[in-house]
Amino acid sequence: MSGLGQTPPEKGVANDEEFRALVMSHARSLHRLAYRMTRNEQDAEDVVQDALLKAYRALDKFENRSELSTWLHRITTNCAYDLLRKRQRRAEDDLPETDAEAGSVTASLTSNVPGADQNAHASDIRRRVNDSMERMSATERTAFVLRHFEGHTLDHIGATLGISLAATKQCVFRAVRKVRQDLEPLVQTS
Amino acid sequence: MIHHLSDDQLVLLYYREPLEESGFDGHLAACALCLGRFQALTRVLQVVAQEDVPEPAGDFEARLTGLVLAATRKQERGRILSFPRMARFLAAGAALAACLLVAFSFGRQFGRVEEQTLTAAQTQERLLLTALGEHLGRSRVTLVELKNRDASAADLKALQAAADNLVTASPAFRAAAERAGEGQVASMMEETERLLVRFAAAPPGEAKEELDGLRRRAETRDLPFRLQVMQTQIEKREKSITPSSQSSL
Repeated sequence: MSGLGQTPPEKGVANDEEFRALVMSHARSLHRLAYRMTRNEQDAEDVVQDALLKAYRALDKFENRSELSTWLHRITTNCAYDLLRKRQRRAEDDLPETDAEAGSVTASLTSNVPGADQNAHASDIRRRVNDSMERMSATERTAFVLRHFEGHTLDHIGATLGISLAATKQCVFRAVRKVRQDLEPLVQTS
Repeated sequence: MIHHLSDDQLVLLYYREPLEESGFDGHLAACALCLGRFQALTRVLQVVAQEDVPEPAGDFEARLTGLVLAATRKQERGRILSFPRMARFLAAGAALAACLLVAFSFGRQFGRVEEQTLTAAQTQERLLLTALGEHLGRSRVTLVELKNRDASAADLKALQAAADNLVTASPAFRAAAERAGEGQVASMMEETERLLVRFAAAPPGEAKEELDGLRRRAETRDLPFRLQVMQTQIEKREKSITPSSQSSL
């Protein structure tokens, strides 16, 4: 193995073995990012597959401009962001259906949680986080996930999304407000 | 007068981002009110941070590698002019182009007789809607077939070919739908493509598993039904185009 987890590949080395190593090193962290953005396991898998396909095609052109991991996360973020925007457009076109879909997604997520009492609280949190995320725009959701879970700076998020620092801040502020609205009552009672 | 930190400033402090305004150094430690608000915010955001993410199955990486490499090979083969695939793609494009060409010439010739016949734009719209409706119908029939047919080895190959046909033809129709401002139809086609492409590109050893996944996803998303609804809407719109009606194109 050529240590792809640590060192970006040299130009022109997109062969199958190295690609396998790349997937082994990064697929799960990309899946976590994609899941946090899409809130759906199947969509997360589709996003990672899409991102890795794009990465495979572009590996030849990849010049050690930045860490490989950063590059892969950026591709995954873009793929998930595109999916969210498309989903949002669809939701605007067809509101009742998307509500049903969102309901079924929430239901499927909560139904995955074991029914034991000690898990009820975790299940409630997940449901409320899902609700908050559903109320966020694609940009708010992406900015929030990148800031809150991935630890990116606001500057970096703005560059990824192609928006100004001020706009990025507003996205994160709005996202946090939505999360607080949904979770504060739960946190206060627990 | 004491200036307290705003909610947004507390968020910036939580994420250790610089505050825009100066003069708040040490304020949090000295102000019980702001500290309390900051702690409340911290509790909420920490709860969110602790949320579990479902781990994918143990074979996730292997499956992913297989799918991506298979998809890439398929595209490479297609690029070296795999004739049947290219022919199918060209046929789909040609069918659509023929529709539009007929629409255009029909409109040119008869568009002026407005009282008795359709205008050029109406004819064009009607033919486009017919083509899109037929494609949605084919997509639905293929999905239903994928859902119901036995998955023996021979059948799997045939089903993969059917899925591949649809995936190959779809981009031409999707592009036409997008150009015509039919965003919802284009979205639905893209969703169907995304669903089918994994199964169509799966290597023989993984086709059965991919078909099972496709069936589950199609059912969860109620895709055949939604395709039928959209096809019906398209057909209704197509029928509603009469000489007196206004074209939406």
